[in-house]
Amino acid sequence: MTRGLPLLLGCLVSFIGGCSFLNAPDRNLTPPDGGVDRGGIELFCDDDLDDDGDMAFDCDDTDCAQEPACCESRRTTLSEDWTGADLTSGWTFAPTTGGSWSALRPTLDGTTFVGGFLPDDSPRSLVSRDCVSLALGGWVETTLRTTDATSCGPTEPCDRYAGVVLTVATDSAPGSKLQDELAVTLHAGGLVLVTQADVEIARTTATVDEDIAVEIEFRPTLDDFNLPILTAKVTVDEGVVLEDFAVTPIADLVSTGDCAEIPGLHVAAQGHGAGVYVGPLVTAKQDCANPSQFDEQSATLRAEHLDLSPSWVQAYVGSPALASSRNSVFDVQWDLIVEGSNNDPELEPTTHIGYALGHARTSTDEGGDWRLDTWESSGSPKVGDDPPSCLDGTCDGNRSVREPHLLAELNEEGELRDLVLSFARELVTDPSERDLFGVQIVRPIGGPTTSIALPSTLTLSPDQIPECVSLRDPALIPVDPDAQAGYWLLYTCVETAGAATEIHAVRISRALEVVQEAGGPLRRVVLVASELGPFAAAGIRSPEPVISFEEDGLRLRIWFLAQRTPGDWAVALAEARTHDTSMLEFELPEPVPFPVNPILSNASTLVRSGCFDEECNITGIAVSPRADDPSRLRFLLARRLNLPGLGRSDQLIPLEQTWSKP
Amino acid sequence: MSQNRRIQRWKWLPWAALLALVVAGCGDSSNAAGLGPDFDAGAAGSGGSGDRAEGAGGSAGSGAPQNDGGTSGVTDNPVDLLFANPGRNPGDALGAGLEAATDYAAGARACYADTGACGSAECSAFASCCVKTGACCAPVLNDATLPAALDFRQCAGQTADACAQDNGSDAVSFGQTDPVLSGRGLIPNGTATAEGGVVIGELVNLSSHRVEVEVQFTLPVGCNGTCLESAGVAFTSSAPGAFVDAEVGLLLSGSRDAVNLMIGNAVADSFDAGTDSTKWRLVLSPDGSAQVFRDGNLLGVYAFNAAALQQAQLVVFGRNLGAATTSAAIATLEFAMAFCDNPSAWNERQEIAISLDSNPVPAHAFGTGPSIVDQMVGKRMAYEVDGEIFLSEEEAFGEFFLEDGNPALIATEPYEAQGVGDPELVWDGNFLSLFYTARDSEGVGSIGAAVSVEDVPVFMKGQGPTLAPDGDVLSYDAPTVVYRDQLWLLVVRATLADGATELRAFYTSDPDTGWARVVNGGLEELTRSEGPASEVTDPSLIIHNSAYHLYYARRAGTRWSVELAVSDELLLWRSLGDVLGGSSEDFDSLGARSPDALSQPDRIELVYAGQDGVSFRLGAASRTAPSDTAPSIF
Repeated sequence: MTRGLPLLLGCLVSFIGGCSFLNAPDRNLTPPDGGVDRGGIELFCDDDLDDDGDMAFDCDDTDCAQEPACCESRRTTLSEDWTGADLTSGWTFAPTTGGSWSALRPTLDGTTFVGGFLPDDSPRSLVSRDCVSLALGGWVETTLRTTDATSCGPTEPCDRYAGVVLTVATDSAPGSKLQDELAVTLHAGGLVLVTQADVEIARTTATVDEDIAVEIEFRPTLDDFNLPILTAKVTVDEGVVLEDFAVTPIADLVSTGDCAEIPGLHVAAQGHGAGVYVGPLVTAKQDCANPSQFDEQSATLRAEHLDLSPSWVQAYVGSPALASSRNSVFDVQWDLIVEGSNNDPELEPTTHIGYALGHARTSTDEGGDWRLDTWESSGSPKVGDDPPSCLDGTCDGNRSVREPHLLAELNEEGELRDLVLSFARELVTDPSERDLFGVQIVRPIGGPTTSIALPSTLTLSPDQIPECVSLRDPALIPVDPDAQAGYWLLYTCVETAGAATEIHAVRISRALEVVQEAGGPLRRVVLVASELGPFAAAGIRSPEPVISFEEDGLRLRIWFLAQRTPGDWAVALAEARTHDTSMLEFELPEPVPFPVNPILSNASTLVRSGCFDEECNITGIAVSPRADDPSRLRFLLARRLNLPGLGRSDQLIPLEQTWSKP
Repeated sequence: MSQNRRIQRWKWLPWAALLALVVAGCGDSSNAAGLGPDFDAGAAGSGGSGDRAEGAGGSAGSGAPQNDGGTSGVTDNPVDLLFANPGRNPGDALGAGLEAATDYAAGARACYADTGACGSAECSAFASCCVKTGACCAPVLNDATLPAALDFRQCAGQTADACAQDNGSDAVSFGQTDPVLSGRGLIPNGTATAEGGVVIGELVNLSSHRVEVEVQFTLPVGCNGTCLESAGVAFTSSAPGAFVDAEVGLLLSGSRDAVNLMIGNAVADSFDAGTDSTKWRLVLSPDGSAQVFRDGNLLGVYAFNAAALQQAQLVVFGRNLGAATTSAAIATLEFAMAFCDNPSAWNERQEIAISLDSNPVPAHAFGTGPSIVDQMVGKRMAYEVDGEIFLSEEEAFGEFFLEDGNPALIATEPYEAQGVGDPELVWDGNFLSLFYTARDSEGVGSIGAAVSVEDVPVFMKGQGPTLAPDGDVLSYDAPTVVYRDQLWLLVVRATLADGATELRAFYTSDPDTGWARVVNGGLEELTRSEGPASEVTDPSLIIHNSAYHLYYARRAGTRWSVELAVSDELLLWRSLGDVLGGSSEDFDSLGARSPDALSQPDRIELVYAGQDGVSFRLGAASRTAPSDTAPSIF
């Protein structure tokens, strides 16, 4: 078995580029439409509509080539030709109880098959020790062949059979078949049955003593309840015998071992008796969009690396904002703004904790990672008080500034024209009011050592938004490539004291004023937790949008935090497309959740690594295209670790993904 | 037209309210003699259209249920006789007219629409609404899990543990500095870096118990906007550390002059703290609802994860940087506990061990279709192995032994050519009956019956199957039977000519004379399965707390789970969905099927088959469930 060899080679080839073994996405290897349509975008790839009127529906439209519903790019995950001397290293011979057995491996027309599942007192199978990832889509291919139809008709099941099984199990009980999430089985007389739970789903017939090609294609999608499920299409001898069959909820797939990053199943060759065989077996996973996998970078940041004064960050640093630009010497410049406090945020249910914002900057070589010791900062807060928080009543007048977002406005050379900073600012109109925030937008913001004097009024106050008592987590999207017409301001709408459940947007002019519509702000609802699925059942917050303007339209991707249960924050993704970019001044395209959300859970190794007592949390995420390579997105994941004893620590973990159209 | 519909839609409300008024509360549901069914013995028969037919071993009839125009079968069946507890005199409420039947059906539909409706006072007449609503709970008396009341102000100068012990409980302090008890109450004494407080009492199962916590806070004095003064009471699932994980509770924030409702260690809502005399009440129901009251006024209802709090610990916690004379404190606490019927709250779940002569019988651990019965002097469990039925006796919960290695029932008849299985044991007070699936040489299933009159069961089969397929039914299997008050009730799976399957209910006063089908009810629609990707089977019917509880197994893909539906009269069903699924570990990690439930006093036991991806093994589970709290009369 040569599992994963292509993956390994791929990484070796690109080693210099810092490739990890994770599969970073590259969603636009194929140009949209291939130049054959009328310049629009297929908005949705599974709605049975020709959204852009180019006579190509859904996956037939090359716009959708890199979407999970359509991706045809494959990366082999398992390849077995049954010629190895010892199959036991890669396969479990099931049942493992009731006596050992071995399989015959005849060569038929030059191809090695496995079969002869003897003795025939039980179904027997070779189950892959490795799990093959399928949750983001994948394929299983094999060849079946029956050589002896004696006493078996072409339309009836026979007690001699062999086939391929996808299963969560690694063993079977003597006398029983493997638990089959999906199985394609050739019976000796030529009947081919597709089964689940050993119940027939579909059937066809095949010719005896000829190779029968079988392909199972898996695609992720959302069911009627917005739950991610895996669907299958089964092709036998190039004839489709089953299509759009809901195999299993993705939550029920194997998610350990080889499938820890992308859930999947074990693959098995199963049979009973002699005369029916399973040929070479190949599995592959989709090699297109994979927002749930990241290239890990080495330079994990902590407050001390940013040279921020402990006087205001000694207890907490998080909620990062990141921007990338080229500087005059053609290096890459990174601007990072974080919120920090000298008191633990965990004290918030007890008392008011104050926060401030700090700015740090560094440069890297083109394509490089940043170093830990080259960050420049003012040390003290760029916005807010030092210290921002005190528990002895000495700074009751302080008001928090939190949750920064940076929008880098670049010239054609990628050099920084302006940095636009938005953040949540605690209301000051009433000295007794606490915990209520509005949004402040500032442009320009200068370098790290430049302090910002806050204007007297908020850019957007909750008084202007009747549904929301507080506005948090602002983020800006330009409505045109140069933001000449202004921005959409996304923010978390806090309706009550509990977790927020909606992300809204308000139009902001170039002059940073709220655009009015019918006597109030021009505003839209962007995401609603109850419409997203169970992963967001307990709330959503912190939108991080990235927009790309192309000749044929725009694509908007919004990463955000979502919680299934209170406190269980994870990173999720929603995407929107439109071919009418001029509409962006008035309307935001409707984001659709990615089929396999969340893309990064609180239980992932990225969050839990080094964590004591499993009490670590995602506190924020920043996303920015790299100025030196806009196809690369850099993420900065903020996590708070519970350390042994009473300590906690905050880390900013750099990650990257490739999206040729971020 | 639409106006008429609206009027009809709401006609049930006054009816239901009237029923609620006559409900006397939690009464005795024992069945009084002489209130049993009063239809002629031997008159049961084919039930396709509800007609009664004659003849031993009769078929169930072939008539397809007809739409009844709104009464949902109330007028098509002897509903007054079918009520789970005829001692509640349901006939008085049902009346005789079509209008009353329509109102009853509409009322049931409206009450069963969602948990909130079913748990409301208007729906309290339905015993089915006792399940998974937090209603009909039975008070926990003489239990030291939590003290009835703690007035910390009366314990000034004592330790928290001494104070708790004086009130019949115990308390363990945590934090860097011990809590202080003063005239203000209990000051938790946590710091900026670590929570302080006490753990009170023993573990509480919030998935099966309703807990009412009444708390009176003492507000801090001179607390400004950033003072660190807090005091709270909450349930937690982990030992207190630097920060208490308040899964659900109330926390007084001095700086905010607010009381926060904490859920999942986050602020779910926040309320004005009031004064020192303000009384706060937190009512936690096993259905996962948390109600907050301030001075008796309901402030809101919130969801919390009760299922994850089977072993919750009560903590009083907080942080106090000010002087003890001005600190935030807990002045008083009062607790009331009751256990409720939460069908998902299984608190014992283990693999069944079967032995013969004190030696394990491994093959029998993989037995299928288990059935358990309580003969008052002991419990027996039947199961199938390789087409034969075995009978074991219970030694302890989850442990059974065989008298010998011989099956209790084997295939002997032509209609049993492919074996016997799906055993169903029924004890009628005198005799032990065994119903089972018999499959002929074509695989067609019918329901067989046998009875034993011996202390050591020896089953004698009846003449032919007690229920044989006919008409649109190709096969019957998986019987479950209840006997009460001279009435036999049967639910089976029917496989129809179009390939679909559904569960059907029957009744008779004498199984030897045939069965009448319950028609135009909701069971068929609820359990109908038409595609190969899903399946419904293995029903198990019991009567518990004046309601029918019908457990059954549903397969979705490869995964099995046990679902529950409840009904007052075997006709209109309230579906409660999954109640037992994969445990993520051990023998039932992936799922569960083949449930057979047993109603016990204040408890339900269940035997089932656990799925681990390799095989199905017998398992046992149990949970608390009040058996005598449903409204005593209609």
